[in-house]
Amino acid sequence: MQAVIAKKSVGKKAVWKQLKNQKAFFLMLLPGVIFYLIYLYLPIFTAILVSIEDYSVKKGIFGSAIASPWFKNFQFFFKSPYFWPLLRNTLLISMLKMLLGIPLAVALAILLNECRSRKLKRVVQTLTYMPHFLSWVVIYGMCFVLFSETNGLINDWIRTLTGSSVPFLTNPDSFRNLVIGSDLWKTTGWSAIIYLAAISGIDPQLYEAAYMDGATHFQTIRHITLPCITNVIVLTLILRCGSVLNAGFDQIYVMYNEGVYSTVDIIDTWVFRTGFENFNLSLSSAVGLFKSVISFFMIVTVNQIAKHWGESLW
Amino acid sequence: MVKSKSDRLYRFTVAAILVLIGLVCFFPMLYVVSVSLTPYDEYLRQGGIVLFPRKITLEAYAQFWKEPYVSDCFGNTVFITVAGTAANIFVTVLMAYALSKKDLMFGRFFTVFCLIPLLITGGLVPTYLIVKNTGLINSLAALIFPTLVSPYILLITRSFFSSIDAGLYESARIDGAGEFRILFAIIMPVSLPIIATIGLMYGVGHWNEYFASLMYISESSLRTLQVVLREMLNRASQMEADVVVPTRTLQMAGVVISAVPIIMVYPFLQKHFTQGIMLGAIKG
Amino acid sequence: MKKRIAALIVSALVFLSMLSACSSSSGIVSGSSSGSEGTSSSDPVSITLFGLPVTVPDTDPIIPELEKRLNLEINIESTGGDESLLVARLAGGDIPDVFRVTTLSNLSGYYKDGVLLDLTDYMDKMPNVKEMFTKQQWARVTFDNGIYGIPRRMEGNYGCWYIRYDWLDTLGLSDPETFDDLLDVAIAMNQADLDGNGKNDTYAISGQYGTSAKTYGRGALEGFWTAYGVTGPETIMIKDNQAVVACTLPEFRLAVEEIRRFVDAGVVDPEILSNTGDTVVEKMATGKAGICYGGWANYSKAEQVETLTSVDPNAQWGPMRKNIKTAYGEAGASNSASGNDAVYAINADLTDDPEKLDAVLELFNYIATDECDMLLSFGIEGEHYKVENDTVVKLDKMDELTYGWGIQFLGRQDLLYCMTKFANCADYIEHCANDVPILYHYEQMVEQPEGINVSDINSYIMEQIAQFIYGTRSMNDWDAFINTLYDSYSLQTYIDAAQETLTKLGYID
Repeated sequence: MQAVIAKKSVGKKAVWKQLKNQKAFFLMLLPGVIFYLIYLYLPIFTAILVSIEDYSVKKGIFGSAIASPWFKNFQFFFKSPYFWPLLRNTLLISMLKMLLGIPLAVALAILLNECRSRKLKRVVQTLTYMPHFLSWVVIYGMCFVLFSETNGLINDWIRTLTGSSVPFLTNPDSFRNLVIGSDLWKTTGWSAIIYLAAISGIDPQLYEAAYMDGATHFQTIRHITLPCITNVIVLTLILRCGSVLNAGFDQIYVMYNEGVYSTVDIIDTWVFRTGFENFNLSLSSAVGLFKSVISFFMIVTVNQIAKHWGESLW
Repeated sequence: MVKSKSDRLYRFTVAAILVLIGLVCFFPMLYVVSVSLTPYDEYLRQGGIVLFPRKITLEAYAQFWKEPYVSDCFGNTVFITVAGTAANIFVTVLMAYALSKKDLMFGRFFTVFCLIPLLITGGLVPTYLIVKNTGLINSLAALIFPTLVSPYILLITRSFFSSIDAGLYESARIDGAGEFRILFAIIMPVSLPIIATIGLMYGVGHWNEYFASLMYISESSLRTLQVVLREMLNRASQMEADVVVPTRTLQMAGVVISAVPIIMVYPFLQKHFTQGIMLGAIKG
Repeated sequence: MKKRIAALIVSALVFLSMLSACSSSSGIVSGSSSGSEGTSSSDPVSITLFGLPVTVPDTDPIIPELEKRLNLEINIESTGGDESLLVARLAGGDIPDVFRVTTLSNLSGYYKDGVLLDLTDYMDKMPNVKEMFTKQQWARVTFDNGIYGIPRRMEGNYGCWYIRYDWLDTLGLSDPETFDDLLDVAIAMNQADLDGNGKNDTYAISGQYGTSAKTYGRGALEGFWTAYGVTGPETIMIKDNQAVVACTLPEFRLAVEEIRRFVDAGVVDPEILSNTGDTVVEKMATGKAGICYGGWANYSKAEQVETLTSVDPNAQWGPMRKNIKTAYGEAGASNSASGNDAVYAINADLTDDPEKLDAVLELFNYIATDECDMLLSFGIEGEHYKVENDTVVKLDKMDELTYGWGIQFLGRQDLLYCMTKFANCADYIEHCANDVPILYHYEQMVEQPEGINVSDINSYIMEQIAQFIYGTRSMNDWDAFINTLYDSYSLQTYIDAAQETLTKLGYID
């Protein structure tokens, strides 16, 4: 996956000629690059500016005064007594989702691939990706129906068996498990699609050759299927590591309540409460920048590690 | 091919696990549909636990369809999903194909250029400022242009194009075909699996778009379905005297209407994955 | 061939950009305070009202009627009351003509940014508005001797403690008057399996939980707080001319201990923290709760009564007939002294567009008249209501106006409005408004002091109170909790800011 830099030809004329030859490719890149510049890069620079300013709506980006000290907004975030708990919760939830999610999705993709019945495969695949389409509000409603201590199906059964009930929804630790579990339920089938697409690109001749050699199913999976999709897995892993500070704002915002703040309040929910509900625009930009910087370092580091295994994003 | 006993056991186990997984995914969905079809008082009488509807009514659906602007927003959602996804695929494929060329001049630079926004984002306010300054506020285009290319999906597409047999490209080139011709006439037909995949990813993103629609569009008739749904669901916690709190059955009907159309799309695309396998066999 | 492809790409891009041009010009363009509206004065002036808390449906007849009466074009842009959308909009430098601000603290922030129009010079163009509000209400929107917002008429009290009477009767118990009585009733409800489903699944006490701003002071535990003479934990009260955060009061601790007694007896719904309006009513309907704090708006409206009696037609819910008393007070309701609603503000830049500014002032002046009051409260005469013997009588079509509260820009005559519109529970409405003892709290008027994160303070308080109530944290830690508030959350600074604001506004001498 490495784009090899064009060999430095001798002389400017040769370079110029090569550019001309590749004119078509540059034309292909053009719309995308324009988009990138306007809607991806420009906001980044704007964010940097806004986060070190005392942003005033009237004065705009260029008219607002620089905050004194310039790191005032960052300080507000770091000094909050919530800072460490937020960081801890964010990392914990994010990593658990990743470390459980990726293997589950890969396993599902492999299972689907190994399924010989076309019909069963199609039905199960459709069923597993369907939860992806449900909004978190609904999934939370379903959790309520299943796990509620007063109304819930599961607690109903537990109560008939043991007479007491389990506070799934109000105990902070079990609530965190609920957050992660419901995320797995929602995203595994969907994530498996990409692995399935990669598996479907594997040359069937490899499978035939393995069959000829008398390989068992497990051996085939271990030596053919997995290695062929390793690059996709590593890619996903690297990217997930990069977004490790995004633990799922949409989900948690919908599901959380004050009783479980201690385990599921994440950076983004705090920023939303503090920054937006309280007209502190610079704060949300500052925290956003902080998250971006961390994710940048994470990806670079993890990518370097991955390079040792021959994989890399660039 | 002789089917050995262990082979049959293996196939059975695989099937059994898949069936189990399917059921785990299925039952909550069944619940949603069942509740949406049950009359509310019947729902209460069963203590809120309804797996199979005993009585069926379409009342909740009719009620959801009366939410303000629901048909407008439904139409908007369909439009941006179709038009937006088409635009997404077009620009992404062009870009990813060019990036996949190993001998592209400044290729490394472009790759890094495309990857950086994966790691660093501008954030809510700056992006809003740019969207506003490009004149997209209060138009459906605000839901299409600012997310024209997803760096992540670009990456996936690029890696797919990299893995296409170079021979395919070379032989066309020797025949004197231009780059665009090669892309559209030769590479694309082989790339249907990836097109289907990224089309689905972009499509679902558009269909479920909520926050951008809320942020950039304040004209109620130009918003999307998810906004209508969420507004309805949020009413459940509102304390104003006038507010009619939506019943659970109404909430579920809204969910079904908002999710079913896009779910229906996938089965049509699934065959392209299998097509890719067959093509691979012929090509070899 | 290449040229053709290039042409194709270019035309595709052109097509897509035309798309954006089409959408933004065919719909009503919002927020653009375009200079001249046309030379003829009979052309309606276009005004944008941003930030409404409801979506106004296209079948709405009220706004078109208002437009007709004043020869205006009114563009409504609703945000569901989400202040963050207003913030984002302002951040873009695109300030709407008129917008709704949900917290007074933010209002002061916008003022400091120069976004708001100083209305002092224009008050003579809005005499009706001037008369409508009290000096204190005007004081709340005044900064540095300038008036920067238009207040809203406050609503009366809607909250009180509800109890299920038919269960009281079945159990042969009389109305509880002390917490001991209440505990007996709760335990009896819990043990008797009154819904006859063979399962011991009835908690007695339920409701919703959250800050007073979120629950409008009608949270599950309000009965306990008010009985001990305090309001919600994060609120600011005035005691002996001092601003004080409610949870720091010794009586508050007693209230928490009282709740603990109930929790330990197993009669409190463990899910109060996550309940929403519909789940509470569901629990009440399915016989899982018998004592719920809320109000007529939560439990007595027609559709709610229908739900509550759908499973057990004998169910009878109503306000407690006797208020629970302690040595410190009487169970009643807690209300925000500034009401739970927002103010409207005008874009400072409208001074550049005198025609539009006049139209806005005229609009608000008209809204403050009785005639407009009837329109915004009740709808169109003959269609939604009729007048009989000087009283307003509701017609069935009025039920369609569920979004009415969102377009009552300056509020309404609350008691009249509620009793007309929700005629089925008029008695309860009156009871809640007039007979329930009310305690007031003031934190919604306090400007957030520099360097203090009030939302952190509130979160911490709500979180810890939940832990104390359910026993996750021992009451022995109470003092440590209060100390943390002062040490780590700079509570004193917050209290001092409150003292300052409340003195300025005349609540404290």
